[in-house]
Amino acid sequence: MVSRYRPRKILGVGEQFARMKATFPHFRCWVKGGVLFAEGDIRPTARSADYRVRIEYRADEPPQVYVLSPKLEPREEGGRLPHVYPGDRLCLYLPGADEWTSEMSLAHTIVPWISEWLFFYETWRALGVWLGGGIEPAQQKTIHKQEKEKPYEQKRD
Amino acid sequence: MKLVTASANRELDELLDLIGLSVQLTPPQFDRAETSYHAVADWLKAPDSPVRRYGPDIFAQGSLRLDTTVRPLSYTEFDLDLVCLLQISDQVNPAAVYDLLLRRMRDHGTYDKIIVELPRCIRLDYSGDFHLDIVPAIPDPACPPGDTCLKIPDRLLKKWRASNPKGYSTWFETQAAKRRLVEKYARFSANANVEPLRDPAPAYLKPPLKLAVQLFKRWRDVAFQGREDVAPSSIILTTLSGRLYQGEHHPTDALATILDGVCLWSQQAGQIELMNPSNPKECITDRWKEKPDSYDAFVEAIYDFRTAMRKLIDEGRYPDCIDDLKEMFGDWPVARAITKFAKRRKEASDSGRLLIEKSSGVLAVTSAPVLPGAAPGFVKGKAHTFHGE
Repeated sequence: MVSRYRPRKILGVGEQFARMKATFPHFRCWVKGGVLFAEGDIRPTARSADYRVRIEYRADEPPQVYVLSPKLEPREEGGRLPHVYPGDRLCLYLPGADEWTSEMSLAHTIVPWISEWLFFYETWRALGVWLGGGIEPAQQKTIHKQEKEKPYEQKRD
Repeated sequence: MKLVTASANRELDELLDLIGLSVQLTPPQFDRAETSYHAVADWLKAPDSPVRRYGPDIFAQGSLRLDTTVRPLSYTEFDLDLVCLLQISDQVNPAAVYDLLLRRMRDHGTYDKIIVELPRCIRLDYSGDFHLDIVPAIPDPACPPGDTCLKIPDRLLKKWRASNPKGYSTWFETQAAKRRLVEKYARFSANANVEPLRDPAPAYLKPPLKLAVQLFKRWRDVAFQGREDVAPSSIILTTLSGRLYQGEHHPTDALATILDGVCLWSQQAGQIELMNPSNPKECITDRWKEKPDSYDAFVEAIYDFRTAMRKLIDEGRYPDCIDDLKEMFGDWPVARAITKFAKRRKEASDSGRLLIEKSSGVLAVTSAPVLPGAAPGFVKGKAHTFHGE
């Protein structure tokens, strides 16, 4: 447990830039208006397509992650993608649970998680099942609703 | 585009291994089969058993012995074979030996209900799981001391014919234990522009020859669905594989070598002729001579299989290759394998065993958590929870 009195060591845009370049030299990184942009190719399996991804990071704010190409596709027309925020930004970690904080290196958290996300996305495209685990509040709401509808159902063991 | 990299084939090896795992007996099924046949042996050897004086010895043969079991296409019971060797002269009629065994088995209340009398063997039908086919056997008087040859009834229980299941498995295990000397090739590859060598096969992989045989048999079941009468027998596929296997360390390479070998052989020899490695007098491809259309069907199908495998190895893309694999090995084993493949990555991510390659982003699973600095070309992932709206 992190002590609440420990001074936080937020990694600034410059520091994240340096760590990205040191870890993933093939990523193109630049800073504009206080925002770090990191763009590069990731393929989650050796036989996967190269996905061009972009991370946008402003100090002390959650990073925004986009897949630029190839375009992410739902399984059927009008369907939705799993584990994305509006604008098809990838949902890589649970907010507020300290899974990611501004003290952590993007290169050692967000980038590996992008590759995982892409792998489970590709597998979901083929099988129709998301096998990467996780929580989607929209789905949870549905589950809670169902539970509420039959709250007194007897459980027998 | 040709795609030959070490990690591309490592993933394919893993997928093929998982397909093999999906189609074979599960460990509890294997245990149940073993328990069942030990129980049969005990019943035959019991003090009041009329069979006891013939010193019954029961042992597995075929795929159960070789560890190359494949679930039938219809998802029904596994077909497992046992031999019951009795110390009886070959002057005795095979039908009499069969009856002796059958009577004793019928005396048992449980067995009596699940016995199916087949022309050459007594089947115990463990519904939904497997059936055990027990073939009576006697020693072969012509067998040199120390050898394992024996005699089993022919199809019609009219006469005895030579067989050697233990000898066959000894031959097969020797082939499976072959290992190509990779070190020798490694020295030359330092300067040459060749595929980098993969790590030695991970521990969970079964011997590449055994896996290749399972995949070969599974492919046969899929490719010859609806025309089973011309399908090549398991002993032909197993023997071909054992003969052609060159000691490859990885299942992808093993299967490719075997398929290349079969195609080449079919071009050279007119018709492939195979002798039983444990009985050089027995030709196991007689049926091809009697029914040339079954040989033609085999050759045609094997060329297609080889082309499909080559394409998969050279150009196969994830996740499109899932459909190609399904075409070769059927839907459910592939779906199960892919699910396992993905779950392995999820579990690795949760427990600090998932790496990503810095140069590409490719994910790699390790068997134990990685210490800092132990994998320089990789970044270790961190446990996390995918979220959403």
